[in-house]
Amino acid sequence: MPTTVEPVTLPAPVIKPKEETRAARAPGYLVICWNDPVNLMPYVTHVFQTVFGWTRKKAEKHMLEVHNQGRSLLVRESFEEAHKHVEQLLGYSLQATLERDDS
Amino acid sequence: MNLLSRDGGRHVFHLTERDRDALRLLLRIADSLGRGPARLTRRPDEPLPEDAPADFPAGMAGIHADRLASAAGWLEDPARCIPGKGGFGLTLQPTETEDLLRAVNSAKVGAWEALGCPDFELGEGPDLKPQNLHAIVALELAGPFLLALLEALDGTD
Repeated sequence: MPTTVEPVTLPAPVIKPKEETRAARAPGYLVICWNDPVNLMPYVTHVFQTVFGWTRKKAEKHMLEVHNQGRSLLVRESFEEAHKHVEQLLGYSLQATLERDDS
Repeated sequence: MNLLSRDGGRHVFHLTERDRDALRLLLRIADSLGRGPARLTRRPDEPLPEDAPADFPAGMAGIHADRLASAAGWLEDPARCIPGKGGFGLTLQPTETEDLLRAVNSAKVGAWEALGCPDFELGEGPDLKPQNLHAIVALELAGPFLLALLEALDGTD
């Protein structure tokens, strides 16, 4: 006896939304430290280690960027975190600001 | 000012009376110079969240003043300042050493700002006036104290 095959309705393909790009997520902010001719180099290294918990090697790398290039991009993070870190750096009398990162 | 020991979660520094006088002066200068309002961004049109303040609150100035007052108090505390040969030993917890470091550095940076932010490496001279001569003193005095405090905090000799 022939059997009737019920038509199969395939489920509509699930189209996954493209993964959000970095910029489309919560906007990121860059914490930047600027060079000045007054803060000692070992002091700047110490502050980076203290504020960000970095190794001395990483802190020195960023300190030298500040010294040689005039500025160093320290971290990219949420506005709240960036604001907190800028406030901490200013509390150590370093010249720090934040910028929105749309890249 | 020299680091004598760093153990048991405390730092002991040797200070002469002249060192203490210099530190007192630095902390007074830091207090008198104050600091301008700190800005969050360099560009005035930086896109920020709607509720973000453009300036930091005055609370930062209050914290700074409290730090200076605490540091000044440690220098007069007989429990921390034990007389010894050629001066005395000043005992601080690491967090206090950190606060003293920030206080002394703020005196140095405040002095630099008061002198017109000169870049000495570029041959720029300070904007000297009778009312900011004390800033030159602060700029000269601060360096050796900063290095001694960093030595204690960073464990480098």
